[in-house]
Order: sequence, then C-alpha cells, then structure tokens
Amino acid sequence: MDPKVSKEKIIAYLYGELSEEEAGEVATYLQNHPLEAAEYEGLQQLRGTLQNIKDIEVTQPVIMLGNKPGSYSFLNIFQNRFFQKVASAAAVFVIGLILAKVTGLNLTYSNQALTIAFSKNQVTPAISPQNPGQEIKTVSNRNDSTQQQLMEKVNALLIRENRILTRRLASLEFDVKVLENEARRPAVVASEEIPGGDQQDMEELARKISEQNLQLFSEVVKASQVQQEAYIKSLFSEFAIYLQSQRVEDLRKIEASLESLKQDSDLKKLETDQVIASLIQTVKDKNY
Amino acid sequence: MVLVDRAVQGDEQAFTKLVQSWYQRIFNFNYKYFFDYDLAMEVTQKTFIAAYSNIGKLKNTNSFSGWLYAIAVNYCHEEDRRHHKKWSVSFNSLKKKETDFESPGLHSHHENTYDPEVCFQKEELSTILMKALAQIPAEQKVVLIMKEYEGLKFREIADALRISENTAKSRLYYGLKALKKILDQWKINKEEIYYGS
Repeated sequence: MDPKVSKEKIIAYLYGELSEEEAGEVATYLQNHPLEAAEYEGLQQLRGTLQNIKDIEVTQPVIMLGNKPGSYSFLNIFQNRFFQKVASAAAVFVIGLILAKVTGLNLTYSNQALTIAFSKNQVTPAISPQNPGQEIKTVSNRNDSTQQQLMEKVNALLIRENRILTRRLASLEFDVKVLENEARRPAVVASEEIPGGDQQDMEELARKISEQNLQLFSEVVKASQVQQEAYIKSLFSEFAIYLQSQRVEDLRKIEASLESLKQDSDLKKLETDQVIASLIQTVKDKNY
Repeated sequence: MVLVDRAVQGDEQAFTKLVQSWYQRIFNFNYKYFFDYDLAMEVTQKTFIAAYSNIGKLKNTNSFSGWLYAIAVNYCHEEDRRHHKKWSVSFNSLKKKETDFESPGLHSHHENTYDPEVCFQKEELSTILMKALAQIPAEQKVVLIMKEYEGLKFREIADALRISENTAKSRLYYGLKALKKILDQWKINKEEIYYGS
C-alpha cells in the first residue's frame, strides 16, 4: 500500500515544483487512488479556468521623484503647507487686484454706505462757469460719481453760486448808492435852480423820492432773492435727477455683471457634469 | 538586479524604471485582490511610495520582487481592515443581488437558485471568476494570486509573507478547493468555461 501523499506535495506537483523522484512518487500515488486523482484533475481544470481572468491595462501615473524624506533642499520650502497657503492667499489677492484694475472696480465707503462701481474713467459733468444757469449738458454713460463725489460737486457749485451772488449783491448795493445820489441831486438842483422856492416842499419831495427809491431797491432785492432761490432749487433738482440716473446706470451694470457671472457659472457646471459623466463612463468601460 | 542595486543606492532614474516595470503587475495583483479599480490604483500608488521611501533599507536586492509584493500585501490587508464594514456590506448586497452566493464552508448545502446562463449573458467569465476569488479568505487569496498569476515560487511566497513553504502550499490548496466549491455552487463547469473562453 502506498503511503499517503500530503496535500502540500499534491499542490507542489500541480505547479511542477517537485523533483523528478518526488513527482514520480505522486504520479504513482494518483494512479492508485482514483478519488485523489479526480480531485487532482478538478484542481487542474480549475487552474485552466483561472487563466480566464484577464489583466487590466492601466496607465502609469507621471512619476515625479523628489528628494528623499528628511533630506534638506531649498525646494522643500515649496512643499511646506504654510508656504503653500500663504502663496495661495497672495496669488488670490494679486488676481483680485488685476481683476479690479481690468473691470475698473471702484469701492468707496462714506456716510455708512458701501458703494461698488465698475468704471474706468471719471467724467465731470459739463457746467459752464460763465453761465451758471446752464445746467449739466452732457452726462457720460460711464459711472463717475459716487455719492461723495456728487456731494463735492454740489458743494463746489454752491460755492461758485455764492461768489456770483456776492458779486450781484455788491452790484446791487452799488446801484442803490447811485440811486440815492440821484435822489439827492434833484433836491439840490431844485434848491439851486428855483430860487426863492419853498425849501420845505423841496425837502418833502426829496424825502418821497428817497422813500420810493428805497422801496424800489427793496423790491429789486426781493425779486433777486426769489430768482436765486428758484435757480438753486432747479439746480438741486437737476442734480437729483442726475444722481438717480447714475444709480440706475450702476444697477444696470451690476445686473449685467451678475448675469454674466451666472452664465459663466452655468457653463462651468455643465462642463463639470460632462467631465464627471465622462469619468464615470471611463471607469465603467475599464471595469467591464 | 543591477537596476535594483542602483535604486537602493539612491539612483532615482533606476527607481523610475523599476516603477515602470512593476506598476502593471502590482496593480493587477491589487485589482485581483480587491476587484475594485480605484482601490487597486490607490493601494498601488501607496505601495510604490512606500517602496521609494524604504528602498534604501533593502539589504538583499535579489528579493526585491518578494519585498515589493510584501509591501503590497500589507497595504491590501490594511485597506481590508479599514474597509471591513464597507466590504461586508458590499458582499452582502452582492450575495443578495446575485441570488444568494454562499461563502465556502458556510451552509454548503444551501439550495442554489443561481442561473449561470443568465449570468453569462450579463457578465464575462473573467468577472465571475473575480467575484468568486473575492469570496475566499484573504490569506488564501493572496497566495493564490501570487502563485497563479504572478508566478512566484513557493519559496518566494513564503519569504514575502514570512510563512513556511508548507503553510503557503497549504493555503493554496485550501484556496483552490474553496474556489472550486464556489464555482461548483454557481454551476460554472467545464462546458461553460470553454464557452466563456
């Protein structure tokens, strides 16, 4: 009777890792033991079956070998996480500055209000200094004014108007003096030209003329004040309209920018979906 | 082994060539182990990163292949442990979905409703075999893959896994038996195999 052959030997025989003598011994054993021989045949078939598992072709990643861990190099600083974070923040800041420059971003904070404007040029409303009554003729399509800038312009115009009014007042005062002189002169002429005339009547006449002159002057001043007030009101009204138009223009531009950003975002989302779909498909292809 | 010697001495170009030579093999080893492309890719990359970090410590350059497989096996076991719950769920669902596939040794007399014809229509034989391979115990699976697909000698397998040759042979024997049992349960017989191939 043949001695029992161990499973280890059977396996070694199956894979051809036995010496000729040992292999002959196992072969003889299998010839004399049909059950073990059947089992061996089953294992052989299984080995054949296992050959049906196919290898997968895989793309090798790009190999970038750096220095061994622990070794020092100046380039190691680029692998430092803190450095990477600082560099990223700096890069974002620089990109932000460039974008602000390109888009003409104008940020101002005044009177507890943050104003965002997109503009490259600042356009000053055209006001003729020679003709202060002439309103703003042209307003650029560009947004040039924040609220603060508008206030400064209003102040400048008011100062200019004050100067003009001062000059007019001086002119009116001069006119009053002239009128007073003229009012006095007839009385003198009358007293000189009408000898023996009633001095008291003449004085009475001069006084009346003087009163009339004063009344006239007062009316002129009042009329002038009313006119100036009306002008200033109209000026403020024009500025209010101008300010409103600027705000509307700002809002329109912001809306346009937001719309553009939204479109870009949608496009990016679509591209991302397509890339993900492509990746999923690739993975599915590789798996099957 | 000149390439390995150079890599051990710190020649990065030599190591790059080693990676190029071995990447495909290690990947397929891992893929057969996990039957998961992404996981196999991840473990392969980890294997080569570890190899790069530790190749200076390799004393016997003739055992490079075993050493590399040992790293891969360690990462495979590590991932196995990490994803233990996940894998359990995955295989359970697989079993349910594929009409109650059973692990060998457990409920071997379970009534099987698996229809191989339907399966052949849906999946390639390679996929079925991979699924069967995924069900045998990890230590048997490792030896089986190393022997059957990587063509390592029993001595090399024993060295890589730090076990005796007889233990390696024994694991392979039981692994093959378990696999055969699974395939028998699934009624994957000789005819289907020829049909599939």
